[in-house]
Amino acid sequence: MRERSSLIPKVVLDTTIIFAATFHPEGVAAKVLRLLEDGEIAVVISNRLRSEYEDTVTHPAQRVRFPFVTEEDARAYLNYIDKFAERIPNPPTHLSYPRDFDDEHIVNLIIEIRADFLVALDKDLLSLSEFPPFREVLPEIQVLRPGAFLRKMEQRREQSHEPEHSLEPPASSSEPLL
Amino acid sequence: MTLMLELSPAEERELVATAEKEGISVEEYILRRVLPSRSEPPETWEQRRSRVVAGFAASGMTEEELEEYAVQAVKQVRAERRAKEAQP
Repeated sequence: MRERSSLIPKVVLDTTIIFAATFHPEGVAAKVLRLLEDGEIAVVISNRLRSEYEDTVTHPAQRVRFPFVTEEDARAYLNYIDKFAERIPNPPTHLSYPRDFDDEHIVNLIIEIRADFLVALDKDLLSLSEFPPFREVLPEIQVLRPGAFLRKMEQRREQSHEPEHSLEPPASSSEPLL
Repeated sequence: MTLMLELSPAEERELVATAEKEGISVEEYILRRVLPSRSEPPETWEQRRSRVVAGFAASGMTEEELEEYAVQAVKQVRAERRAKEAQP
């Protein structure tokens, strides 16, 4: 795991993102993971979430549905993610999430690290910000699908490349004309 | 040096089928298993990636279908985990 700057956004990736990236390395979810490799985002994973990643991509049903990806391939991809992501112990329960108890560990991971982004494919998680108690705790978080997240990161890159003086009025504007 | 192996008909069929599956002769298959110098070098990360990219393209699955399947796959694993945890 690499050292992280405080300016790099903290991101939680739902298991669906890891799944899609494992089986489609040129897909949009895999592009999100490439931002992690390039050091543009910091991905934080709890032990519980890592275990869910593994159980899902190495499930025997996937060997039938995706015969071109072996269990060894799937594990190699998880190991690659481990190299760049930050792993933390399972966080305490900050918030109960009765809408879907299976998502509660993700909700609490997000709160624990005060994530800037959650990237997901699942509709329930994508509407997480509409859950008032969550919104109260973490009003700034953005919950996005991978395509929207990539566009957001592209915008951030463009903004960071803009010259600083363009944000302020030209110095001459306050000076007398003659 | 000549080696001789005594195989049952079932073992012979298995050996021939396995070698054919790898697209090599029975002699080459045995040599690769026995001699490290004859074995294929391990697949690189890029080779592995290219193989998976080609496999996904050949599967005919769209990205949207994969995403829908991903949501269902996670639900299935969670249901199995719950069932396991509920066991006494």
